Amino acid sequence: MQNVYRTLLLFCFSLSLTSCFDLPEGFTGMGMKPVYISPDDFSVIYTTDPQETVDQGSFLVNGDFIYINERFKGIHVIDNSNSFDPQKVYFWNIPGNSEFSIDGDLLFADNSRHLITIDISDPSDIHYVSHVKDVYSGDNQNNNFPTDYIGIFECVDFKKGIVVDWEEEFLEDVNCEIAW
Amino acid sequence: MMISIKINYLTPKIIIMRHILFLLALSFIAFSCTEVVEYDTTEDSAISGKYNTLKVIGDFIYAVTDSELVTIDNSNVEKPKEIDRQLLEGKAENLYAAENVLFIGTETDMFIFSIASNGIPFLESETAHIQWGQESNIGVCDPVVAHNDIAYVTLSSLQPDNSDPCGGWISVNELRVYDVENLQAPELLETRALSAPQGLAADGDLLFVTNLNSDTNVFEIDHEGGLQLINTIEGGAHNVYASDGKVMIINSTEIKQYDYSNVNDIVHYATIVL
Repeated sequence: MQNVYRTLLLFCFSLSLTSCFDLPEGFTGMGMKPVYISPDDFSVIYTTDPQETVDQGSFLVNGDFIYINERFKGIHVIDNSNSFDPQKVYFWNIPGNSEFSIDGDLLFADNSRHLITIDISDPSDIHYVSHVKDVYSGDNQNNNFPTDYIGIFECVDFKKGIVVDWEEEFLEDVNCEIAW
Repeated sequence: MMISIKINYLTPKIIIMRHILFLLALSFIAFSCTEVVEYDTTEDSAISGKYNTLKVIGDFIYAVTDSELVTIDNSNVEKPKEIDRQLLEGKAENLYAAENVLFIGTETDMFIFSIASNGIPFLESETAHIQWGQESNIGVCDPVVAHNDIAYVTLSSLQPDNSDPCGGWISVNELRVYDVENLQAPELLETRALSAPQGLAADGDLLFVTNLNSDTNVFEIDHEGGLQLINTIEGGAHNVYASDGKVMIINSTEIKQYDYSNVNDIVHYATIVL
């Protein structure tokens, strides 16, 4: 019996020289880390000053206004009442948002998980009204890796919430990488 | 562009007991494999296929999620509730509503639903973009605009970086015109090859079709669904909105507004830098 263990030990030792030492540890180094927020926190929905458009999503025209989604961040509001000189007037902060529709004074918008009803009767001061839970899966494939980026990153875990941003950080033992 | 995401399994940290040594050694061999998960990131680009997937009709909200059509009863605004959910084939990209009919464009099909009196949609027909046993998932952008019983579908496998995700396998860049008077049996009337058709907008007898890498086509449509190219608007774009003699053409950096009250002389009058 002792011999069997000795052989096994030797076998593993020889293995360790080859594949055991090559075992893929997670990646370590500078990389991107997802920033999560809770999909149940509706206090993050509010009006801000106009923002720069970085990653344009869907758009909608309603009366004198043009609405453009900023992917996973919210909605740009453009006043087109003087169509010769249209102006960005507000940004509606709705983290996780990519889909929306407007009906009268109500905005319907997703936050990657829930479908939220928002009162926009005063576009300069919008308010959460209600929501339908889990209309969307939250597992949005478009937002589970950092865009315009090559390198390592912490894999997204949708159980932790919805991804609203990515930040660069020193990462240890992460398991996702974007490579060409 | 395809991005591969490598997911490395964590090395198990277990106190090695002699009698499981061999098993462990075996499992190490297995664990040393790296799984490569490939995601198609074409949808991620800033200027591809972004169309509306949420519509409010009366007391109901219709939402197309990745591959489902969800109905929400919104008769009580304070307490909206989900009342129906149906599975669709392929990744849904667009929801267009005309009266009580929903047109849904997915990567693989055009779906037509009618809305019953209880608000819940029922399937009228499903028309595949690609038939005869061809590879069906070609990553197309496929808005549907219905107008006078005619539905328009753009199919484009060309992506903003001018790459073809099909890798030459199958390349489809065309506008299709369907007669949908019989919702249960759409009839293909015409197929028009275009460079990379994306956004669609209809106004009266005019149909605007943006191309990703070339000018916007302005067609005149006749009652039989026939198309006649009567003008173009310069520049590539991915989306368009037309109403009342004014058209907005959207690309990744700006919205250009034109007056087409005289369709032979379309005049640019404003640009919104995004």
